[in-house]
Amino acid sequence: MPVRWLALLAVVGCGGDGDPCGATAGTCATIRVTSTGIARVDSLELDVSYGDGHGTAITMLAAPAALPVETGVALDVTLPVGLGVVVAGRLDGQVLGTGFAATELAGGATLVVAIEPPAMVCVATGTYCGGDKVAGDPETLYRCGAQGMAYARGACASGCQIGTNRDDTCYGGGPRCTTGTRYCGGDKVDGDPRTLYTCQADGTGVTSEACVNRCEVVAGHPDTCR
Amino acid sequence: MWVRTIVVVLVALVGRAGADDLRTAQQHLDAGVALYGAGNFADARVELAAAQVLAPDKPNPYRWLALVDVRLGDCASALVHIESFAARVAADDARLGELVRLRDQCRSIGHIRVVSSPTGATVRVDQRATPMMTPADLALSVGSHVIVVGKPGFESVTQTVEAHAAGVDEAMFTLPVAAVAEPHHRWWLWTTIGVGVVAIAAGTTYALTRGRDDPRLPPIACDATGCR
Repeated sequence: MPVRWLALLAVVGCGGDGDPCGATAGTCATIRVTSTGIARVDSLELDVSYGDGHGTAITMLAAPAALPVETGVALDVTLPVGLGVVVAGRLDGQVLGTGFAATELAGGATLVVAIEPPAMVCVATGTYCGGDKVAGDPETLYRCGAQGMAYARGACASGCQIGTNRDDTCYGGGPRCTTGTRYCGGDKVDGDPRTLYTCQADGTGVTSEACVNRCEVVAGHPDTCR
Repeated sequence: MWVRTIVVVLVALVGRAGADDLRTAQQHLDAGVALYGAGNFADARVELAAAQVLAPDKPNPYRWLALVDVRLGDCASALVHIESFAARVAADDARLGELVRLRDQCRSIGHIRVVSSPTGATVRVDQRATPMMTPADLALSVGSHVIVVGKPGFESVTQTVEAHAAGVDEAMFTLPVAAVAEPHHRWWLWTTIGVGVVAIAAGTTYALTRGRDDPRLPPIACDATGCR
């Protein structure tokens, strides 16, 4: 009997009777946001990485709602595609918690993102690997925003390395760059994947240019901002 | 790694008897710097330690040892190397600024190792949940922190701990077994009442929240240019 009541309560808790992706055309992933410590939110901020694409958006409720809540991410891209979503749950403008989930998207899917208050808050404008003070993919570098929200800078091809008393960075794979040549961070030089670096004689890179959109790795040629 | 450390240091010491210690030290230093650049901090430390043994009066091995120790999370050793470097260079040496910043950072962080009996307990720091289970190593800002350790079936325990600059301290939590409520003889009566209360509460909640507490947010759309 108690199990039946729990089932009923779960249905009551779900509340709505529609799919947040229902009205959208094309491929759509349902994002179901849960929490063990956060009761209600009135908006969600999503940082979405999909293949080489990236975007950030906020979706809002008319009134605060109890978790779990659901939204959708409609994608106009070629499938299959890797989808990673960082979610910040907000109430009255304050971030209550963040979480991350990822999947390989071949069609419609549901991602469950558990948001919790961060244990240790990241320093705004610092860069962090996912899981190091910010919610996210461990092999992706993020920039810390206001109130602990993480914004993806890009995936690290050779891994994301956590720095001690310094920013985390995409690992370049060792000192094998050509002196004087420009590279995206993480491509033969350590750094931010959306910044161009000039290779130094000691194998390290110095910042050359911050890319507005993205940094493109060009095999056999200098990398470039796009 | 220890075997390699011993071998490299022994080679360095034997090499000391040779005529050109400084050249050998420079080779170890170059190897250490290259390993540091490659992100191989453990092996870099071995090479740099060998360089320091061969050329104890030279400042540069201390500088690189400090840098690599910070990357290895060993602030206590880094502080020693920073002081050794500072003692061997002029006060206006251009490399001092970087190490002074490192020293200040090291002095602002302390490590707390949280252990508990039983193990596998959750850890909250300053009212924030962490993803860690005991035993857990926490890097915290210097000062007081309130740590709460809990596990189902046990009572949570709270302690205020002090993180010391570049220190490694341990906080032990012994969790008492939670008291088990004595079952009531007339269990069926309380079960009936409980089910009734839950049913009323569920119905009331549903009636009050239906249509007002909609848990669906508008979807966002993403394409090659971003998300809206």
